[in-house]
Amino acid sequence: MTSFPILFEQIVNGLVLGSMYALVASGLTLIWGTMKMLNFAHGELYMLGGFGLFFGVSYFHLAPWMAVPIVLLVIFILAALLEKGLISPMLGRPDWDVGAIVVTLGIGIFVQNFAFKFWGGDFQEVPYMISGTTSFLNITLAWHRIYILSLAVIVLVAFWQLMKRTRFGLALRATAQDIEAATLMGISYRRVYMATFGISASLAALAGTALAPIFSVNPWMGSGPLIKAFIVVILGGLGSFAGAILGGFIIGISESLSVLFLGSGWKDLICFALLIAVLMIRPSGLFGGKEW
Amino acid sequence: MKQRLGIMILAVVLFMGVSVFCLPTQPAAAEAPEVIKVGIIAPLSGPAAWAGAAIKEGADLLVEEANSAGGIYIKDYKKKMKMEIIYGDSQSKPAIGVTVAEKLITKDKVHFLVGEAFHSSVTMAVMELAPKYNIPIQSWMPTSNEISDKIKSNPKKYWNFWKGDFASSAYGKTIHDTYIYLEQKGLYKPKNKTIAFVIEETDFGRSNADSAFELMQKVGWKKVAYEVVPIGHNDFYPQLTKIKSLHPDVVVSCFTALNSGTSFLKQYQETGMTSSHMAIYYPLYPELIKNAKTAADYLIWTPLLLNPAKIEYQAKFQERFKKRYGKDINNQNGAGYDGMLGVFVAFQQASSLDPKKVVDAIAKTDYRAVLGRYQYNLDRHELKDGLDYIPIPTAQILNGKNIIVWPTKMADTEYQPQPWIR
Amino acid sequence: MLKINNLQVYYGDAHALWDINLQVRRGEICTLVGANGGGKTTLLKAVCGLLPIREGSVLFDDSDLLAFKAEERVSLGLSMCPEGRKIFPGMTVEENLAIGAYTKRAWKKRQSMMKQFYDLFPRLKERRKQPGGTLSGGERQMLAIARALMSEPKMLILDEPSLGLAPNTVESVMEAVQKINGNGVTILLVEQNVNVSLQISQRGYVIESGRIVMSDRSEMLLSNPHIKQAYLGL
Ligand SMILES: Nc1ncnc2c1ncn2[C@@H]1O[C@H](COP(=O)(O)OP(=O)(O)OP(=O)(O)O)[C@@H](O)[C@H]1O
Ligand SMILES: [Mg+2]
Repeated sequence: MTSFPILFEQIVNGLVLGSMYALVASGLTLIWGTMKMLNFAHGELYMLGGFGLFFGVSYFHLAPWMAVPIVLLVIFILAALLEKGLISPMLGRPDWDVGAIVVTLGIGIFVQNFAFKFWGGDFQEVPYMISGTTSFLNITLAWHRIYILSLAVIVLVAFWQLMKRTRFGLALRATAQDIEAATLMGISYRRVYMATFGISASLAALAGTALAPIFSVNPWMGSGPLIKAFIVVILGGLGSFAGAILGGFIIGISESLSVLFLGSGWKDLICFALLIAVLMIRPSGLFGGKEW
Repeated sequence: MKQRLGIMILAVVLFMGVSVFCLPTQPAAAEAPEVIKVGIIAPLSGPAAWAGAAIKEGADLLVEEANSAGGIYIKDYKKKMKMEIIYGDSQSKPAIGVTVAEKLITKDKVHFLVGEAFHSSVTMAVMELAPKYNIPIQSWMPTSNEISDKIKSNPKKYWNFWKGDFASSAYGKTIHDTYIYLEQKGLYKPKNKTIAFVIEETDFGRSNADSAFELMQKVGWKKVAYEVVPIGHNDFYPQLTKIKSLHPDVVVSCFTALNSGTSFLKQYQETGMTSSHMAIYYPLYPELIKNAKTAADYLIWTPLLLNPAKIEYQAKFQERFKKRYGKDINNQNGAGYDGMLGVFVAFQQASSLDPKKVVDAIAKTDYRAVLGRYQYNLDRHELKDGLDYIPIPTAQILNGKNIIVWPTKMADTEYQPQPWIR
Repeated sequence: MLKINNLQVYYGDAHALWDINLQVRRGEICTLVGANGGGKTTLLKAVCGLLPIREGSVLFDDSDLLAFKAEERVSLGLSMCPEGRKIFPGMTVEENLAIGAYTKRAWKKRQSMMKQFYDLFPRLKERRKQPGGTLSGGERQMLAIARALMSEPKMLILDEPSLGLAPNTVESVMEAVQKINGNGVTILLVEQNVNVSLQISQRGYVIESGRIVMSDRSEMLLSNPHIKQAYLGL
């Protein structure tokens, strides 16, 4: 009944969606993998990325490709300071070890309300990074979607290389695997935590800037992607980078295919069914428990 | 681990609790009340906060105007009394709406409750409090027919509950009538009489689509897709790819979130859709044209409720509103103003704070306001719609402007064929 | 080279080490022996900064170690190969070695250093690309030692390198230790395998229940009746 071109087009739609899920989820899994902590403010960092681009373009009249790196840098610094000031003091406190998680919850609520109070609850529009559409193989796609897909792929590959090849990447992985041994190597885990939080926030913010032109910017834009990211991360295995990427694409494609075959209302149901099925076969997710 | 989870849940509950209890509180009412207290439950935070804020602006303006004119004479106390609004935040959630409603009634002792101002779902929950508390309760913007169906099936139980908007079948009727009209005039010709819906997952979205299809079905139309997406959804590529492959004659979209509408219009063009497209509700936002730009051109939609250039009452309201807030009016501003005017009129007619008398006054309501003439349909406790009451016309966006194309009595121009239809 | 004076260490409120005095001289192999729970690991952790020190002082090459954070002590030239090896399980042998050269000075030389240790432990070279978590106990111990040496330390602290190893593996580990010492690295060796460790070291300390109870030249300790009875089972 469904012709192959439609199926193919739908898979491409799923890939675009999935690449964004992967980007948001990889930041989340990075924090878990390194700091053994869940960051409930991740969605708000994504939101700040969107607002950052909006302000850069509308108020400072920057070209989008100029605004994005500036936004990422600002968010990196902001997040690193947040980590040092608020999260780091809570980490490793034996008396209340969910302290850090609660702090992120608080940060998230604060940022959301701050944005609402000072920037307003309106939906703000951000222009496409590249306007126009293109056709290939019978598929019509906006250039911006091609930008999203390639951006995600490039960033994730670059990040992977960073983890594998650089001194910082090795230090980060070492800290994630054994904090005491990492200290003995001369690694300051506090600095790694700061940088990790900053990178994770930048990944979220990058996704925010990429999706802002499609999703519009507003103070609550982060909650949807955060929930999706949690699903992706649990599906892929908490703390697993490869899991976050694979999980992101699986969820993205399964969503677009369930729209095609079953209808939009089934999308989330299928998503959860998939999650439960995976967890029944592999309780710790696709790549759960594996070190990276 | 269990303990940890416990603490986390505790923390989450605490946060939610705090936000409920941090609402502005008032000292308990004294014997002879100083003011007429009106509680309004609206989504003041969360994804629909923009709507809550806009309704609040409209309602506040009316209260300011009414109070500065001296207030309402209340016979019971032989004095003029001013109105005061106490807001409650439903956060778009029915359960929270009910909690807030109970607080407004029992703690703040409001004389009139608006519950809810925006969401049908919250209203459905809050209206169940009507039999328990003996005060007038009214909803403002919710249109879901389920609300009035409930009232009709048990008028005694809901004697004090009134739905301050028209039936949700009104938009569906406009869609049906518009396409029949276009076909008769030879302006549009469907090939297979097939229709696809992309709607928001709310009572509002569903009831609009269902009532439209019910009417279309009677004249031989078939439904080929019925895509329901969450509030605020933005990525419609999967839905559009699917619908494109089904080649429907007409696509009807309905969202209450501006961003969904903007995304849908852009992506409709990006994916190269070839069906006629009619929208419900979201083009009401003045920002839609600004945001969607040329993707909004040629769209036909309902209801164009605001047309200050043509309607004098709206022009005057626009002027006062602009002076107060420094911006143009939108539909929610109008609904907030009109709703509050209704409350004002009811108290003025009753000249009493007695719930029974106020409810009687609501039933007799007949006033003109921003969006039209307000009169209730007494068996369903809901507003009348139509040309003589609240008209629900179809507009088309042409060169970045909204122009009424149906009904002919109100139309300013003729429908221009949508250039993408093939 | 390392001078520990009147050291007191606590776990929370529990007093773990009392009044520790210990010295390691430049160029020597010094052994610290003691039964399970004697406080050996505790002492080493305190020296490396993994545990806070309540009282006393630790001097390394005449600098006060307490003024440096744990991670900063590596660049001073003090490196520890911890109990249980603590190999990074998800990193390959090569990556484990590379991270051993994390300090700025060592990072530049990591390639040549790595080659040097592949020569010392050919087994590691064969398993270059294998994740650390899949190595055998002996290979892990070799990797841990090599990793600790990647920072080019002046002094190496080894916490029970023979733990869980077969006798002939123990022997080759001890040979490697001697070879490293021969290259000019001072060594503090902590062992329960009293016989082997005292044989390759010049001096030794005995710790029992958190206190140093004896210190002497290694051969004297080996012939001490108390040691013979309590540790060598003779
Ligand atoms: N984290 C801790 N908290 C409280 N007490 C501890 C802790 N770690 C060790 N101890 C106690 O300190 C004492 C010394 O332990 P330590 O690990 O230093 O012994 P050890 O000499 O290294 O023993 P082994 O030969 O078994 O490795 C023991 O009684 C142990 O129970
Ligand atoms: Mg030990």
